[in-house]
Amino acid sequence: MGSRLSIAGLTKAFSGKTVLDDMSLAIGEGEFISLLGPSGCGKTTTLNLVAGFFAPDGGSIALDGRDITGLPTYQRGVSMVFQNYALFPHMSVAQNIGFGLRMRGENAAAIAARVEEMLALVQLPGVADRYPRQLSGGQQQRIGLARALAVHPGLMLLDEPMSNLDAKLRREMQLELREILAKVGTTTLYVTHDQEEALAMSDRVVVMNGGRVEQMGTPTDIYHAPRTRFVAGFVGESNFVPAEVLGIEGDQARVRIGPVHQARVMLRNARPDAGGRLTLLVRPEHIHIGAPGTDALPATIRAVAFGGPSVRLRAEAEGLPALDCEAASNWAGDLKSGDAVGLRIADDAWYVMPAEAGR
Amino acid sequence: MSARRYRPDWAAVPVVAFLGVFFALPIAAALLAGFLKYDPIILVGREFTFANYVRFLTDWFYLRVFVDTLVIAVLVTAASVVIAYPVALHLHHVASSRTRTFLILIILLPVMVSYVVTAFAWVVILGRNGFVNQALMATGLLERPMALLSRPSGVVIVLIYTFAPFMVMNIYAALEAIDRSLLRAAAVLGATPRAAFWSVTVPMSLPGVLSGTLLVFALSLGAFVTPMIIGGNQVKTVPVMIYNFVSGVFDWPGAGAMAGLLLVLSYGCNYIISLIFHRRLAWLKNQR
Repeated sequence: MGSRLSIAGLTKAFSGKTVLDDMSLAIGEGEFISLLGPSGCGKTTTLNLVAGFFAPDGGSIALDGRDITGLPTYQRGVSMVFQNYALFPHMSVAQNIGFGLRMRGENAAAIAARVEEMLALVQLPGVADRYPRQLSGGQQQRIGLARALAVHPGLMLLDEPMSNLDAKLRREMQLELREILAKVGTTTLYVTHDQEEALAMSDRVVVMNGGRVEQMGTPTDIYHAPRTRFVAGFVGESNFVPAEVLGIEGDQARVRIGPVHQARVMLRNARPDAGGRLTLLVRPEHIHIGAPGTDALPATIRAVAFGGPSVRLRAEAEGLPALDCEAASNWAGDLKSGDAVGLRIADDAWYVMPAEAGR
Repeated sequence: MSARRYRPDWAAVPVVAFLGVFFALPIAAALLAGFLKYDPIILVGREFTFANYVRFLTDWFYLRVFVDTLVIAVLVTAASVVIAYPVALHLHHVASSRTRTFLILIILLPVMVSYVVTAFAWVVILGRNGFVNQALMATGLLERPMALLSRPSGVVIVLIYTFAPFMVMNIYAALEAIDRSLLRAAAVLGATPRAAFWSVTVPMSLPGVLSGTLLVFALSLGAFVTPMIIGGNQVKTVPVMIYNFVSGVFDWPGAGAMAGLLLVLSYGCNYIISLIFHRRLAWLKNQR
């Protein structure tokens, strides 16, 4: 199979409420997978089940082909970085990093060498004798990572490790964490509710909602070809626009958007509903704002939010829901609420939402 | 990090004033009496002297009382730790909050009933025909009833019963304060539940063991009701002796000096206990 971790049909309920429903997932050697979703979507439950903190109601978990579903946590050989770091406050940094090796009965010299190596890896030499509370949040985070990596884990679990860091530090740590994990070559299961983080770091993203997997795919897939409205809405910003099908030619459809505007869109797997209608998705950065013209959708600016390099605008076009747009701020920054503009959207910027079963 | 400036909290003024008048002053008066000469007529004389202290520190009879009191306090404290830790641990592990509240009420029962009442209940239990002797003889462990009343052993047993709840609650509070993700972290890193208990739970509960130890030790050193009732004036402890000095022989300066020595002993022992724990609790200091 070549997959390091495989989860099959995992189900879990807490006091009668299903929090994880038939979750299946396979992670390849060295892969970085993110579980992404809002709180209560089952991502942390999945992680805790893989770690063995409690038992699933159904399904199985296998690591390297070995069924570990019934194994206690300490025999699983997985490692974990916690949201609150969970460093042992009564141990020095060196004792924290060496803890796993001590539990494995390694000798003092080997442990000391590995601690040095880990401290160098996370670029924090010289803090070995401090206590965790003497370190900043970012430093504690790195020690947590060093402690988890010190035991040569078969699988790394990370539970929202960045959520307690400020925005700037978080961006730095994302790159650094990715670099460190790539250097070590660890297989990683990463839990986050931050879609930007998931897209930035992962080989593949698993979007979860209500205990179920909504979509599993590369960051590009998830962003550009969302399978459900939930995924499109949760990952990135999105405008959903109803369209009327005028004609179908092969895998393309000629559609009318609003009262007059027409476009030619790729159908892929999507099919119009019984009333000959489709739901289209267009991302804010694909809507070009310019002067009104015959080739453009006439619209009025309703709100402007300046954001440094780019500016976000809400535009209203006749017969359409409000459209969120994004433009470079060096020229769109002068637009004000009430200005008349023309919206230009390339045909290939429209993405046809697949029909969703039961919705 | 800027040093925090001292700011007086005016809400504390009434409490400080109250303690000053009704706590510090009487103690100061008692301690002062210890340095004044005994006078058979007015009890506390005017003349300054160290004679009271010299008398107690050079007479083996009095030194014995101090040593006995200390030994009783050490035994009670040590036994309380051993007895209370598993109880606190069980309390910590009880999942249902209703069961936990019920258990805490039971544990605190001896504290809620007057010491005098519980002490007399123990007189019945420990007596020659009491429950303990009857049970031991019924199982054949004893041939004749053993004397527990008016013996240090009985005093120790009842003091453990009386003060162990304080130890339980202190250790329990410390256990509850341990972040449960630390045990998960230990398990993930390969620690068996037993290893996690010894390397995480125990060291992190030591602050509770320390506070419980200081409390139970001080309570045991100063205990009066239990040694008086169970010991029946046969077991001489320092507080019982002070009581005899005050209301038996009316030697108030002697009582004051003995109180002063008890205070020094109590603080000295607290200091030694803190020293023992100091190295193991170094992680609590140097916080950012």
